[in-house]
Order: sequence, then C-alpha cells, then structure tokens
Amino acid sequence: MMNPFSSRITNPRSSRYDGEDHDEQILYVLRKAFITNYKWILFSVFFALFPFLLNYLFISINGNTPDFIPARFIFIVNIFWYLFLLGFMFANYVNWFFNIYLITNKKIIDMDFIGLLYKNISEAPLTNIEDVTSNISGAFGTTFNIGDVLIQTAGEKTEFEFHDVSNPSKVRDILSDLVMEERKKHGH
Amino acid sequence: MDINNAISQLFTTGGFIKLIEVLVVIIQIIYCVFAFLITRQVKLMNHSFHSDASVAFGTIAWIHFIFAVGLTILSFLIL
Repeated sequence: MMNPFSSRITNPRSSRYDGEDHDEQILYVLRKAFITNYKWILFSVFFALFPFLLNYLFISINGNTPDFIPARFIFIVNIFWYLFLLGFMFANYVNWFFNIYLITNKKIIDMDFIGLLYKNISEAPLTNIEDVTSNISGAFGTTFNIGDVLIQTAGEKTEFEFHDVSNPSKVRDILSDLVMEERKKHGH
Repeated sequence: MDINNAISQLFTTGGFIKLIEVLVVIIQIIYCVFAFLITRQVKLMNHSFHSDASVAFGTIAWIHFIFAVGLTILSFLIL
C-alpha cells in the first residue's frame, strides 16, 4: 500500500493510466510536494475550529448561547459545516493526488485536473526529450528542497513543466539517465 | 396572510430565523450538486490514473454525496 502523502513513488506495482501500452511500465509517479498544500490545510484547521471559537465568543459576551436561535437549527448548521469541511478537504486532496507527472519506460505524461471541471493530459516520448533543467527558487523552495523541472521536447508541445516537485535535481538526473538509455536502445 | 403581513413578519426575530433556515436548505441543495460533481470528477480521475487508493476515493466521494442528500432531507423535515 502506497503512502497517501508521498510525492514520489518508484515502480508503483498496481498503478496504471488511461492509454498505457501493454509493454509500458510506470517507473515514477511524481506529484507536487505535499507541503505545498499548506494553504488549504491551514484554512481547514481554522474552519474546523471556527464553530468552537464562535461559541466561546457568545459565551464570553452573553454567558450563554443566544436563546432566540432554535437548537435544531444550530444542530443542522453544525453538521452541514463539518460536511462542507470534509468535502472541501477531500476535493483539495484528490486534486493534489491526481495532478501527477508520470515517467514510464517509454514516455513522460503530465496530467492536470484544475478544479472540478477541467482536465488536460500531455505526453511525449522519452526519445523526443532534448533538454532537462531543474531549478529551485525562493525561501520556501530552498528550505524544503522543492522546485520545478523544465523539459524541452522536440514534439508538438515543446515544453513540459513539473512544478513544485521534491528534490528536483534528483528528478532531472533520473530523467536524463532514462533518456540516455532510451537513445542508446534506439541507436541515437 | 396578505403580503404586507408576510413582509412585516420577516422583520421579527422568528421571521428572520425562518428566512435563514430557508437559505440554509437552498445552500444544502446547491451543495448536493457540488457533492455529485465530486463523485463524477473522482470517477474521471480514477479512469485517468488507477492506483491502490482508487476504490477508497470512489467510496468516500459517494458517502459524502449520500450524507449531503441525507442532511438536506433531514433539514426539510426538522427545520
């Protein structure tokens, strides 16, 4: 069972993608580093604590919760609040989980899901990769070793970008080695 | 009850609470649509990339949708 917070998985045994060839094998699954989710996680913590804070505020002002609000209404709104929080966290988590970069023994694939209504998938054969660059910028990136990997290809889509991946230098190295191997196989 | 009476009722505490309750139910109905969209999106994502967690994601999405519908029905009944 894979770690649900992992941003780099090597040789995932039970994973496959739509359009995978019978002789193709996924070597790496890459995602944005999990720490890049901090915004919605902090927001969720605040959201979870908000009803308690509101209750504390009412009690410290009035000495009790306001009696003109029916208990059944407070009950329904509280349940709905936490259901909404669950939905918000789940939607953000799956969005992170499925926005992946795949490296197979034949190609690289960039899967993008933005929000609930947009899907974009791009791919390029390893033999079309011309240049791989990694960069780390900013205090956040430098502290957590998070950065981008830019891949120049000879195909229709000339540039692939793996954003906010952990240890981008390692990813660049893996990709470069795979491209070299593939080129040797094809006699380039 | 004539229209003037209904409007004047709105400006009482009870009337205002009733209005908020109706708004909450409307928001819950809209939320059910959002919850259903999540189930569709998860299905699409699982189809694009299948992993160990695919079944769990699908199950959570459906449980979330069922809870959203159940809560909306409960709100209709007790509010």
